[in-house]
Amino acid sequence: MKEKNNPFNITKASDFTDEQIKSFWVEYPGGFEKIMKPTSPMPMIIRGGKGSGKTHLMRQYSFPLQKLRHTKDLLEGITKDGYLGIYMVCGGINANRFYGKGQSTEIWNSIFAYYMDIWLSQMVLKTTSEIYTDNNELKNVEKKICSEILNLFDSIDNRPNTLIGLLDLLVSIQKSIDFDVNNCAITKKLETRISVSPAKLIFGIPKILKKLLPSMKKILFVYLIDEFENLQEEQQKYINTLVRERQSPSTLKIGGRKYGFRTKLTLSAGEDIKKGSEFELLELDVNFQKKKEYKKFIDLLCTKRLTKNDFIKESSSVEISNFFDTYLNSPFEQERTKFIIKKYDGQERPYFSSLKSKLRDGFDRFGLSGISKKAEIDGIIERLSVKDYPLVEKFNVFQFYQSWSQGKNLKAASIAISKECIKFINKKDGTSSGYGTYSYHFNYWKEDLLIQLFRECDQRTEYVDFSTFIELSHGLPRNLLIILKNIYRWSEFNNEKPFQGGKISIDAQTRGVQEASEWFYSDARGANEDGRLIRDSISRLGELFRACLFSDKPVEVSSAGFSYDPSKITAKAQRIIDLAEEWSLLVKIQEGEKNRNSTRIDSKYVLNKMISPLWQLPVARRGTILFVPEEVNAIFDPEQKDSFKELLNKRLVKMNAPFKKTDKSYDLFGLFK
Amino acid sequence: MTDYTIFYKDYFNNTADVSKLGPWDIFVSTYSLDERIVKVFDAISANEKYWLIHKEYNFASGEVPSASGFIKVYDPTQREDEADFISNFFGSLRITDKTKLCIDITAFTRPTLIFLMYFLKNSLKLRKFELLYSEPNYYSAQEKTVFAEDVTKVSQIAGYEGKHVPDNLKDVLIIGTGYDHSLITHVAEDKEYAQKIKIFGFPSLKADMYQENILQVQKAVEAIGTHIAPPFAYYAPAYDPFVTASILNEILENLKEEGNYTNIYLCPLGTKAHVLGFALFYLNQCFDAPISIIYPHCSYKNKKDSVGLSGVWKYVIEFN
Amino acid sequence: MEDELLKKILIFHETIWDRKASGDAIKKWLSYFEEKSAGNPDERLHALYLLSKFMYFGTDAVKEMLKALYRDLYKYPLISAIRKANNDSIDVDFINKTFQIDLDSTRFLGLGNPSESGTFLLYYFRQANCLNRNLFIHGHQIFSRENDKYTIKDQTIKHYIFIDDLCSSGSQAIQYSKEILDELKRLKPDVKVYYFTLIGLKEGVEKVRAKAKFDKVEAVFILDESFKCFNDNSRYFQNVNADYITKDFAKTICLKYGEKLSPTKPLGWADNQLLLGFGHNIPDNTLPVISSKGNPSIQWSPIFERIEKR
Repeated sequence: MKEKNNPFNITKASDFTDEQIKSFWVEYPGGFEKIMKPTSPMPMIIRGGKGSGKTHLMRQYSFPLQKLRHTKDLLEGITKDGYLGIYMVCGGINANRFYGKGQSTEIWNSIFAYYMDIWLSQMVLKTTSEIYTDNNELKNVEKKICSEILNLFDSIDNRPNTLIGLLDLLVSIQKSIDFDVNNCAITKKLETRISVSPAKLIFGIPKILKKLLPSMKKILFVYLIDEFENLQEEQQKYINTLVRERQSPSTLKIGGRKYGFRTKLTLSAGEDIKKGSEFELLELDVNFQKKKEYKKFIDLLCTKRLTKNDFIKESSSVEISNFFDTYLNSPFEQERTKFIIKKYDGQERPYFSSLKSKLRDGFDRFGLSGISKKAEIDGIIERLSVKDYPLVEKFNVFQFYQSWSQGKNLKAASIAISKECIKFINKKDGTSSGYGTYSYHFNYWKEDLLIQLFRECDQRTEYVDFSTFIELSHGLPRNLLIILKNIYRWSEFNNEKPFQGGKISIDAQTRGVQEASEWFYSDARGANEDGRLIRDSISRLGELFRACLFSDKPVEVSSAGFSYDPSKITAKAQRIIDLAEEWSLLVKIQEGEKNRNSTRIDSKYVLNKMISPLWQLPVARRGTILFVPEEVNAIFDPEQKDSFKELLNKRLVKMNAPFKKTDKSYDLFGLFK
Repeated sequence: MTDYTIFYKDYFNNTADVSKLGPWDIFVSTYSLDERIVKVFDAISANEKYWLIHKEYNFASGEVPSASGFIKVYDPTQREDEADFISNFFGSLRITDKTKLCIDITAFTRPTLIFLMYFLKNSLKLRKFELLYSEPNYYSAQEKTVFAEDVTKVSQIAGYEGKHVPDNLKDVLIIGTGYDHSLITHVAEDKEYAQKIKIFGFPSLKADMYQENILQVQKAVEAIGTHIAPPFAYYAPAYDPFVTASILNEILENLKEEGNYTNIYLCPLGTKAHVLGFALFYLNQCFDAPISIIYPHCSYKNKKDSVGLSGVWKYVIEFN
Repeated sequence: MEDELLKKILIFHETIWDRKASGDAIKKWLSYFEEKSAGNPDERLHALYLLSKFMYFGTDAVKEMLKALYRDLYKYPLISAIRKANNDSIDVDFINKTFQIDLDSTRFLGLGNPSESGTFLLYYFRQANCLNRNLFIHGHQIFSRENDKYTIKDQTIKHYIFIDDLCSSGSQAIQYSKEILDELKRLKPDVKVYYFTLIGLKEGVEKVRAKAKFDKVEAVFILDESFKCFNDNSRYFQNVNADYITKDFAKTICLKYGEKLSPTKPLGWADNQLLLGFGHNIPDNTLPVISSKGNPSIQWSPIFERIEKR
């Protein structure tokens, strides 16, 4: 069989040609138009984490894609669309050169604004030229158009009377600015003559075109400015000013990474642009995280990839999840845990060895309630055992630890657990029988306990099933594509013929997820040392969650979220939290967390699910840990990180046998590395 | 003139052979803690010798060499960008076309090396000078060796800024790959919309370094793609600036033939020999074109990234 | 650590190893090593570690090396000489025309008989460098025989370039020198004969330089003693995590299986202990655990199989 290419190889819009954007396009349930609002004159800021699909979306509404969609009659098509998308990427301007070189910020602001106007104007004119190729409507008014555009300039020597000539003029102005700016580094002189006021061309040219070309009467000129993060703060102020001072028939849609929006200020005396009245905000990944249409969208996206790459037929309806191997449902997860029976045949299972060791140690150091002789420990183990169902055993051990932490009579506790366990097993249907029952708690804790079990038995945590991957992607479509891309790689490596008749193994799924997770984490780079600080902090946070998960008696189930009182932490800690959120390693829960002990609403964040696998955390999220300010500072403030280990130990002592709050003899941190 | 491979290059197996070269009027090297840097500096015969101290190395006090006799040290108190650093230092040396100048480029930061070529050619108008580049036995942490990190910004190098066009549809980014995958990712994402072409250093300095390079470049695969063959990947010897320049010329010719570019960005992240090749190519062929050299400037440079000295290359740079 | 090693191998498999190290093949190969047991070093982990350090030069890499061989070892010195003899001329047309004269009087040959890898490489060498087939001959075409006398077949040829893939001990090159060069140099004292190889072990290359009559002996890559896997200054164990991997244990397992796989050379020919392979074959200097296909006394399934010369 001819080797096929990985259908998920391309994960970024920038790697797609315009034709591919069109061909691989998948419409969001309900339509992207409702989200993007291309005919709305209100400016829009589109913020998205990496992989949210921001560029993909913006390109979809750009002129090159309009051209591809309206091959028969471009002008008619654009008129019907009601907008003309002038798409530019800020990276193309190489904005970092408008800085330093011995010149003041004010001078650079003026030069940058001038350059940006000339740049965008070239795009408008070039696009217009293309739309009206061989069209008399333009030819009839071309001279007038040129004349009116030239009148926008404060002073101009050359006065061409064709659009091509006008374009050439703008090109030569741009090159002249390039020459001045480029040489400034060496000559330390900048003598560019600015011949038009800021924004006059950007807003003036569309006005003139609308006035003189009837077919443009109802068209909105939409400046789609992408990669906003590639502009410096002062330069962003200029664009913000354009947003505030927008003039019909133009508008702006500005796209950028979350971390890339450095300021809301404009160039007018310290004023911000106002959300609601001056622009609307589209947070793309929040949008995806919330809506259940996201799953449907992802299904369509994957089906399209497989169809276009000849893995499945266009007409076939497939359930993507069927391509992945998974475990059969079993009430006590027998399928997933049967390897334990085989591995420890004739040996003591590790959780019992550990329990035994802790009981013996506890007996020697503090005494155990209900246990008068060490030999009775064997009886406890015996009562908690359920040889055929390791997960049930594990749950018994967990309940036992709970009893121990509550100071209960341990012999009696083991007897009670054993009784309930027998009833539970004999029912054999595993369904919840109401809050407070053995069955209820077993189902509540089982995912976390499975992870503990796997770890104790030297198995990596498994991440399987298509629905799991959708969860992990946490609202960023690109994350999902990268997960599938890596799963495919491993599956192909294992010769499983993925999506070609074979089932993708659990091993390939887990390894693929792990690789995608590592990429996402290492990709949070930040500027200067910020990337390292962010990752170090998240690493400490992940370690804490893992340590809690693997403790004898976790307090919160499936916790990968935390809350804290923001008024009590250091500014440095908050800065790192904000950066981590901007780089999507943390996700802010907008409504916060109501503090249990007061009316206060604490800040609440969860770890991005995409990086859960790095600390073997579960995908499902339920519990939130309330951190005291010292803990938040120790995790996120680089100057206080040295106190992290001690604070973590303090927390863990209460969650691990022998549950003595004041016991300083355990160094639990190392146990969970 | 596009056949760079005619330029002179020589290889010396040890410092004993290196010490027989010259003598030069002026010898300049950038200081680092690598054995290969200090050994070559000590072996060279010159009337004046200079150590340059780059702030990115973050030397502790006491780590920096002191001036003595004909050995001088340039250690500016403030961090200078590459243009100021080179202009201030070399501008103070009274170098003419008759000066026998030799520079060890091994420990230069890449942006400084790139600007140095511009400065020597266009500001000092030198027509001929010699450069040295020393090879290690291996890198200290092998494929995990970090040479530079903590990117402050991605920007064009002074003198290599080009005249770009607003049409970005067919932009191309040519990356000379090295081990620092985070730098590759930074620059690739700065020009996310551009088609990426990689130049691998192969033959590598040592036989196993190519595979080490592949491992590191793969960490940036989401940013630059997986291809390792033309037209998305090319090969130029890690030790040869002239072949590197030739390969860049070949890539440019291919792009022109296909009518297939709007703007081109060059970013050399490999060995200094590769970096030199990128600079030579640009200075000879890219004036007034929509081509520039961009670089992810870093605040941290590893002051000891290699072990041993395997050999020394000497390149004779000749400008028309 | 096993995960990390597998990741590396996956990358190599997908990129430069010509997809030769699939997960299946690795699983099968590892099964020949002992399973990990508590308290003992892990044989399989060590095997995987060695595999992750294997240097493989597939067809594309070999072509690039052949380009480098021609351009850097053969062509450049001639170009340099032309320039020096002409006042450092940078007239590219003139230089190329003059070089063409040298090229026309050059012949390329493979070291070894026509079935050996040196000769095999000539096809790719010609292709990669866009050379005329007339520039390639066999060893027997250097001479012609009239009555009982040998003469140089073509007196206009000034350069004979012998090409090889690996110079290990150098004995083959030295043998060739005795068989061909002695006579060649006697008949035409001003002839230049070069031996260029893709990879040369330092000791072997130095031996050829000392004992053979080649005017120049060069390699694209020279491997010093640090490439000998279990050498004192082996580069393969400089940065390893000693909790998991040790050189001594790696050597122990290579010997343990190597002695069965290849009793006379359990760590590769001449105890070279190499981790090296080409797309066209794996040299016998490479550790047998990597490349041997087993024998009646031991079943084995290598990742990079060596095809033995008969």
